[in-house]
Amino acid sequence: MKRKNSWIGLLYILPSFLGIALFYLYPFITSLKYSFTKGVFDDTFVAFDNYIRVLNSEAFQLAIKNTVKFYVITFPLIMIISLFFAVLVSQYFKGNTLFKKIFVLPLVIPTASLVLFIGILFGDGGILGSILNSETNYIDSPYAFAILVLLFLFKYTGYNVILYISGICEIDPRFYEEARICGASKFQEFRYITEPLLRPTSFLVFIFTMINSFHIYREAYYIGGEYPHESIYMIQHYLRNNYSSLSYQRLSAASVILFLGIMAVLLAIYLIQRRREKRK
Amino acid sequence: MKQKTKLPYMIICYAMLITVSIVILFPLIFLFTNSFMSASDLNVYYGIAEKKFFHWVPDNFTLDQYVHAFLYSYKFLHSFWISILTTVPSVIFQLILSLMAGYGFAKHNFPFKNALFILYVILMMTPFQVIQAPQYILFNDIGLLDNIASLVLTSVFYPLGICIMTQSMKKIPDEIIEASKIDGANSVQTLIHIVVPSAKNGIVTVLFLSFIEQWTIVEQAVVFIKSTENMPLAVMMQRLSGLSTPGSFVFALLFIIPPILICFICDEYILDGIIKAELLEV
Repeated sequence: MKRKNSWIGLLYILPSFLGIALFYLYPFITSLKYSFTKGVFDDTFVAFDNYIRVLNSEAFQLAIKNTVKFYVITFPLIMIISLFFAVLVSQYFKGNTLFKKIFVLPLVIPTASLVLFIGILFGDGGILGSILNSETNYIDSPYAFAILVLLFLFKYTGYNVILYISGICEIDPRFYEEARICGASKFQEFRYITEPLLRPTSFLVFIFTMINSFHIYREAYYIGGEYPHESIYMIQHYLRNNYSSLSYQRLSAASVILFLGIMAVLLAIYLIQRRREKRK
Repeated sequence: MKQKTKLPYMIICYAMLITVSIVILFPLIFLFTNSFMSASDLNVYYGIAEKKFFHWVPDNFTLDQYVHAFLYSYKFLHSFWISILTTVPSVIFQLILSLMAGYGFAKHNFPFKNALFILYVILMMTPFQVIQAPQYILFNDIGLLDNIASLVLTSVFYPLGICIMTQSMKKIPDEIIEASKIDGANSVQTLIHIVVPSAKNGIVTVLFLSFIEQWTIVEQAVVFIKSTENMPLAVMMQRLSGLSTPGSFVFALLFIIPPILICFICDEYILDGIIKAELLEV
């Protein structure tokens, strides 16, 4: 159905666009500009100098290493775990809303309130220490990375489960009936019906998790402050700390690199999604 | 749809789910029971004790912490109020903007509409740190640094609400809109009386997500706000609470209450996972 042009739509978008242009587009373009100049007040064009300096800096490399490590470990983990629990819940407890309510809770509880709890669990003299018989403060050790991963999983798995459940509910039950008539086992049901039909939902879960993963800085901030242990020093820390020391040019170059990285990942996922749809 | 329910499987599933639920509820219960501990108890169990452990039953059941939190913790209460001041306007204005822009994107056609929408999506996916420095300079020039207005402004225009609302409104059948136009309603009336009530799912999603986002804001606050008087609670919590600080447990509980309230209000909608409406056709 072709809709004729209704320019009034633009009017409705105008307020938000003005705001976005001022507070997001303009800073973004300025950031781009800064990344190619020598400094904020010095407009000499230095081409890719800043980029090279950033890429060579140890702090940046550490941050990138930690960030990539974090993403590579947590994303598959969280998607598999949430899918698992979603299948579990929807097998027998589809109508039960109590579990769903509980699963939403971690997203809703601010991490700030959990800090005390974490301190007792992982701090020095804490419970983990007692179990393993050592005095170390785990929060300030290489294990901080594991703690961060656990925190991330704790916070965001719940809602992903709910997303998957609603995706599963949309699958026509007749598929399953036919499969059972043909004698398929539960595994085969999952592999040939559930998983493929959940691909759009998986994509959504991926996007949602991605947006939330940028907020891992908050968790890292609560357990590590502004200069956390080096195992959880991530790209956001690099960007923020560079800002404190006023090296805008490096900051801008690093931001652009980060942005390009994210766009590349998104583009890849999007293309994979498209190609899969074409195959259907 | 009938399923063969094999009892052993069902019990295992139930057990797993109950375990997970306990893990999730554990911290909440811990905070709640510990909030009734007296200062000396706290000291004994968490302050000077060499080995800390979770304690559930306070030796002396007191309301000391509550008294301290409500009557003597000026900084906490002030910060709590700042958080409210930052969050409520953000959510309201973001909602209004997304309703308007969502209507524009979902129900109208104009050149470059798709390109514009993709721009919004791209901006939504960029982490704050990418535009942190220029935004800082911008706010400095406007004179809004160290002012909670900077936090409100950045979040009001964050495109997430618009993207969600657009997808939600796309599901409203065009026929309803045409019917209202035939009945003589102009565009604005259609929006207010027809589209908005039908977009309830989207509205609740935006409400829920943006509230949680704003209430726990850290990255922007740490960069834009300097003085502790203007710092939202999410950041102040780090500085205010500690295991031996009196009232800490109550602080933590109070901080949780507004998001949980919102969660209860938006209950049914969230549970249906209506956020699914978002981003399915980027």
